[in-house]
Formats: sequence, C-alpha cells, structure tokens
Amino acid sequence: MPQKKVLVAAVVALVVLVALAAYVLYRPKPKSVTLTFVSTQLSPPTEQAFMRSLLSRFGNETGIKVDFVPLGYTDMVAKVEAEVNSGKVSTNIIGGLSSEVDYFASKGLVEDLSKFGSLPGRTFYPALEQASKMYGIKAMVPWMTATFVIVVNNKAFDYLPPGLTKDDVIKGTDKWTYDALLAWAKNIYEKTGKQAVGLPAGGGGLLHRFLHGYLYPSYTGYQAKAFNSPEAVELWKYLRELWKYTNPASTTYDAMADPLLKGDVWIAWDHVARVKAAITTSPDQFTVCPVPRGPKGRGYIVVLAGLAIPKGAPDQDSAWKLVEFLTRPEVQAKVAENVGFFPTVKEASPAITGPIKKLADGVSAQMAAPDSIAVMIPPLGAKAGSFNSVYRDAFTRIVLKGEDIQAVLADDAGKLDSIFKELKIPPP
Amino acid sequence: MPVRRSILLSIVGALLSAWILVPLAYTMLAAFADPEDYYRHVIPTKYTLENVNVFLELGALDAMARSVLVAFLTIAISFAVGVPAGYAVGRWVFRGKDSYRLAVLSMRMFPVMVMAIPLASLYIRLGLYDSLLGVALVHAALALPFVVLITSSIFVSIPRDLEEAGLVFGLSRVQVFTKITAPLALPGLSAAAMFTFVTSWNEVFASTILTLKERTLPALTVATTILSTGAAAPDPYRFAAATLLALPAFIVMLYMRKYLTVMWGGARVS
Repeated sequence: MPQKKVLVAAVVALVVLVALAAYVLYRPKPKSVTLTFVSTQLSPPTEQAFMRSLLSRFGNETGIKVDFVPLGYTDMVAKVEAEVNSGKVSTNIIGGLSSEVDYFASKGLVEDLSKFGSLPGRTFYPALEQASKMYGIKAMVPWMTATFVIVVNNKAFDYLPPGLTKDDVIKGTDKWTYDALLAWAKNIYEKTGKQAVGLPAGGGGLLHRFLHGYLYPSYTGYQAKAFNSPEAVELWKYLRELWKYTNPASTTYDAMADPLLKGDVWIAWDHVARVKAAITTSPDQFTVCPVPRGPKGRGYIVVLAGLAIPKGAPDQDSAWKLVEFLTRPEVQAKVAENVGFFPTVKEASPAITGPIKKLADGVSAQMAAPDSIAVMIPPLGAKAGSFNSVYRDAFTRIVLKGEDIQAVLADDAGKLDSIFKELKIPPP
Repeated sequence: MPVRRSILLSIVGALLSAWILVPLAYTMLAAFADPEDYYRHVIPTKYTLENVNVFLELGALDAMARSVLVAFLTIAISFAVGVPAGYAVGRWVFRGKDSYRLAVLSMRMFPVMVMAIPLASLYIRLGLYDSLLGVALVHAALALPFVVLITSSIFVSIPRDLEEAGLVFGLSRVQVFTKITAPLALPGLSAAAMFTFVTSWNEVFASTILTLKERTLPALTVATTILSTGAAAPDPYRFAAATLLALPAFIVMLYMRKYLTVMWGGARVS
C-alpha cells in the first residue's frame, strides 16, 4: 500500500514541521530586561546624550537596557499617576527633584526603598539622606544635587565699587553683600551705560527661586514665614533699586547662559545647569562666584534630585541595580563633569576634574561660607505652582508695575498662608 | 503711474517675503553654527554638524518617521470621519445645521491638558498607550472640526447640477461621488489634508503624555529644548531643533502648494 506509506510520511513530516515551528516560536529565550527611566532632570539635548552613553555602559555591564525618557513635571505626574492607578505600570524608575518625589510619596505612588537594604561603598551626605525619607518611607535615593550661583563676566571686575575687591566676590567674604552688588551694578551703569545684571525672569526662568530661596532667607531668615514683614519690605525696596541696573530683557530670559555668552549681561544669577554652557563654551571669560549675603546671612537653595521606584513597577531588582550604578562615586563624578550636577556621596567630590571644577569650587565656596543659610525647595507637590506664582506675582506687581509694597505683600501673604494651611505644614 | 505702482508692489512683496524668509534662513544658518562663534557674530562664520547630530543621536530620525506615520494615520482617520460629515453639512439642508457646525468647533474649547490623566488612564486600559495609533486618534480628534468645516465649504462650491446630471445618466450615488464630486473636490481636500498634516506634525502635548518610547519629533525636540529644564538648552540647539521640525513640513508644503493655488484661484469657497 504505497499510498498509505506516503500518507504516514506526510503526517510525520507535518508533525515534525509543526514541532519545529513551535520550538522556534516558543523556545526558551534569554530574559532581557528593558527599564523605562523617566526623569524631569537632564532633559537638555547634550545632557540627554550623555545619559544615554552612561546608561549604555550600565547596559554593557549588566545586560539591562535602559530607555531614558525626559519629561516635564506635569507630564510625569500625569503618566505615573495614570499608570499606578490603572495597575499597569510601565515606568520602572523615576528621577525627579525631592519636592516632586514628595508629591508621589504623599499619594502613595512610590515604593518604600528601605526593602532593598543599603548601598555599600558610598556615604550619602546626612542632610540629603534625611530629606529622602518622606511620609514614613524611604521614598527616594539621593541622586544629584545642584544649586544656584552668580556668574560674572571678567570685564565686570574692572568696575568694582570702592571697598569691594575681586577676592571678596570670589571667596564670598562679609563685604560681598546684596548692597555691594547694587553698588557694583550702579557703577557699571554710570561708567558704561550698561544694565549689566541679568535675572532669569522669563516664563521658563527660575526667578521665583531667587526670591524665596535667596533674597527672602538673606533678608528675613525664612523662605515664607516672614513673607509680609518689615524686613521683606526692605527686600522689595532693594530689588526695585537693583532692577534699575538689570537688563530689561531679563523678563524674557529662561536661562542665563545665552545672555552671558552674548555679552548682554555681565553679572547673572541662575541654576548651575543653566549657566554651565557659558562656563564650558568660554571658560576664560567667566568666573563663578558665591551669592551675596543679606542682613540675615547668605541664603541659598540646595536642590536635591532623587531616584524613586513607582508602586507596583515591574523588574524592581533591575531598577535597584540602576540606582546602585548611578550612585557609585566614579559615576557621580562623571555626572558632575559632564552635566554640572553635583554628587550626593562624599567619596565622589575629590574625583571631579575639568572645566566644571570651576563651578564646583564656586559652589563649595558658597556652602563653606560661615554665614550660609541653606534651604531646600519646600515639598508642596501639586501646590508647587501656586507657591511659585505668589512670588512671581509679587515681583510683577512691586518691581515691574510699581504697586505699593505693603499692599501687595498683604495680598499675597494670604495666598501663601492658605497653601500651607491646606497642606497642613508650617511655612519654612 | 502703473510703473510706480508696480515698483511699490514689488517693494511690499519683497518686504513680505523677507518677513518670512529671513527668520527661516537665520534659523537654518544658526542650526549649524559653531556654538562659540554663534555668540561672537551676528551671522555665524564657522559651521558644525554637532548641534543637529545631538538630536540625530537622540533618535530624531526614528521620531521623524513616527511623526510622518502619525500624520498620515491622522489624515486617514479624520478624513474617514470628517469628509462624510463635511459632505452632509455642505450638501444638505437639515434642522440644527448651524448649531451642529458650532458644536463641531466646540471640540476645540477644552484644553487637552485638562484631560491628560483620564486620557492616559483610558489609553492604558485600552492598550493604546505608547502606540502611534493612540496618538493619531487624539490628533484626529483635534483636526476633525477643521476637516469638517473645510470640506463642507469645498462641497458647497461644487455645482449640484453636475451631480444631478450624473444621476440622470445612470450613475449611483456612490459613483456620483467618486467620479464627479471627489475629483472636483481634490484640490480642496488636499488643502484640508495639508492642514491636518501640519496640525498633527506640530502637536506636542498628546504625544508627550501618551507615549514613552514611541515619541514623535515635536515630543522629542520641543520637550527637550523648551519645556521643563530643557529651557536650559543653548540657542544653537534650539535652532537645530527648529530646523529639524520645520524642514519636513516645509517639503510637504512645497509639494502641496500647487493644489492649494488651484483651490484659491479656481474654486468658489463660500
């Protein structure tokens, strides 16, 4: 029966073919993990490119691929909240400011990282370690720090007012005060006609940080507690004066690197990451200096960014490996050299080299000043925008529109109070 | 007099062209400017591919391909829904027609921002999150009111007699549309398609919120250079991002130009 033989052979061939196809389709494959890392930090193009190369190094070492996705804060909140609430989390790791992570922690959207144990071989600065604990859990691991500095075009040193030396400014001595800054700006204006001071007062600029984190602590000793006080009135009178010598285009500046490089301003205050391009493009042209001091001391903000894991995220062990990688001292030093954010672990600081060392020295001088009043951005979560608006509104009304200082402060103090009352936290 | 008038017209024309072309040309020049040189000279003298390269390294080409795909998907979806609606509004008289036209526009009243979290949650549940189809659906929703309004005014301008003649000669309703109405409406439809393309091409919010890895070009470039801490990006990078965004749209518009001219020059638009 040759026909029967053919049939049997065909059936056998078919079974073998199906088995082979099934094996090809369902054969055990090596499990590869790809992490999605969303971050509000390091979004500018060159910073992103650096992070990609750093993360590919991590990939080569561990076999874990990482997709770095920079996002705005509002976008990040929308994504993480939607993912955790729907129970389908695709974000494996979050990189954000401590105040941003605070919002996630307050809503129970992030894991308690104490379950992963400690990270050996690195010592986190105690204040940063403390700040990473929120609502009874370890909500994040300190990742990077930053602050704001004054960047001076070296030409400006030719017009220092009597009694102020270049050394005073660079070292941040007692003579380097906000009044000295005003006298300096006035001197430049009188001799050159140039309004040389620059502030990032544009829509995307961080002027509000200058107000609540620098002028307020320096003049009143607090960020918000003495918002409407006699000392605050003095502060606003001062800012009105300084504005006369501030480049009027400041209301359009989002970041100060470009106006500094173009020579539009000679003395600028901004976030280190936002002036970094000026230092790295023309290192010989600029000097990084600590901020001036006010009657109550030298107020400045310590910006802390942390790494958190969303609640219910997959591949948490791999995410923790990434946290371990990013907090290694040598990796932290690389981050500082390339993107201008500073280490959170003690062991990394001595390893920093290159042009950014200049920035690191400026920051160190600021932190080392004996009269420094270090403040953190208050953890206000969704109310952060309203908090910032209060200060910006006061600036617009008092400085730009010339309204009565006392009346504006009385108005805005009410708004500020209601924010802190609603959040049930004392004003800092 | 006519000579003087033509000179005046030429001057106005040149000024108008310069108004549009100078910023475009400068953007493209500055995109390739060496950063150090850019800050020293008004017109850059040294050029580099570095600024554009950074975006290419970040995946701008893939993002561009995704943007094109999303734009064509958007055109397909918004035309599938919008053209029949536009035909109905343009051709037929029915009760509540004006209110309907107004209602179509009211779609644009709500900022997409307000819907961000519910929309993202819904997309995750439906499995549309981080997909090009998902982004195209939102873009189509944004473009639809204009597709309906533009196509309705195009169909109004096509003489009804031609369609009736077709019916008299034995064509079915579908054949009348495909053989008579559609060819006559083609320039106008092309204009509507171009408008939809540009709407989708420029949209940044939906593609940022609804995608993680499948980001379109604006989500990659605009979000990187302007939104968030991206505000720190120096000028040459912003110009590079602007050039990458503008070039493809520019090419599409150049191609579509002839259809637009036909519509403006040859058809009645009521």
